[in-house]
Amino acid sequence: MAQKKYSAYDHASHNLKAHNYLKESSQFPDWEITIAFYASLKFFEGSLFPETYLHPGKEQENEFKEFSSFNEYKLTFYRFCQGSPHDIMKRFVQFNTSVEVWRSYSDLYDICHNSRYKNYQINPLDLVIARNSLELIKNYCNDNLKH
Amino acid sequence: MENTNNHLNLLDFGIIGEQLSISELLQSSYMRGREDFQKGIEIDFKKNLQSAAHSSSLLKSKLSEVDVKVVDLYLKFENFNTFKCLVILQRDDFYKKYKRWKSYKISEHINSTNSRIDLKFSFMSDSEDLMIDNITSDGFIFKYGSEKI
Repeated sequence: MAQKKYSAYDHASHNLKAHNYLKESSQFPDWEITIAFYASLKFFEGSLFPETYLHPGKEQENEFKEFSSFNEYKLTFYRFCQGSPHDIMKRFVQFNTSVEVWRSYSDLYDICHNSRYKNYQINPLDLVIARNSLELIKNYCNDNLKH
Repeated sequence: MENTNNHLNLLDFGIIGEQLSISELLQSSYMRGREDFQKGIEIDFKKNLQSAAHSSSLLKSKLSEVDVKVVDLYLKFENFNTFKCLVILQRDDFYKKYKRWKSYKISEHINSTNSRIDLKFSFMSDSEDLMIDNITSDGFIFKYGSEKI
């Protein structure tokens, strides 16, 4: 039997289900935040390609390039910029979505990555930020679905 | 037998004094060059670090102007000219979206006007659970307001 083709959008939906499941249980706030962040990553990756976006590393020159997938964006990033895999997505979101989406992604990124500095003791308000950010990102991606 | 490595073929120039081989000359020049190079790099790195510290302090004062209180700042280098600043905001300010997003905007502006380095800011709320050990072990070895080095 042929293996089902990987779909980042399906993966995002899968992560969203896991997020909602954890939200219902309210027993794993740290994982709820982590899965919200990874759901948002997959929504960007699975919804917004193929499309023409600002060329990574040439944003100031306002140069555009067509990208068939997020992987192609990553390859271009590595040729022209330096940074971690997270830096690639941050750059993509900052220069190619809306200010609201970029700020929401920054919220989610910081809440998720900095929780280790307080031993994963999650403030209920952190959960509100994570849930609102994921909701906004999901809606943006669905409204701008490219395939 | 004469060592052919000493035939430097320098047209009108010849060695006077101690007859050094090309490998000995290379070693001497490399060592001196490396010291100079390292000094130059150290000076540049120090300037980059000072620039990161200056921009981080600037963020603190700019946020104060818009009534956002910074409780603490931690700084780390990611590479020669890329730095990261962890900004700990007073809890009430962090959890007010308009204050948090305003802080992002100001931090991006400060980074964009610094042509010397890339300084990324990351924000979190102050908390009684804050683990300084976790912060420093992630490389944030410079703390705002600590003893001068």
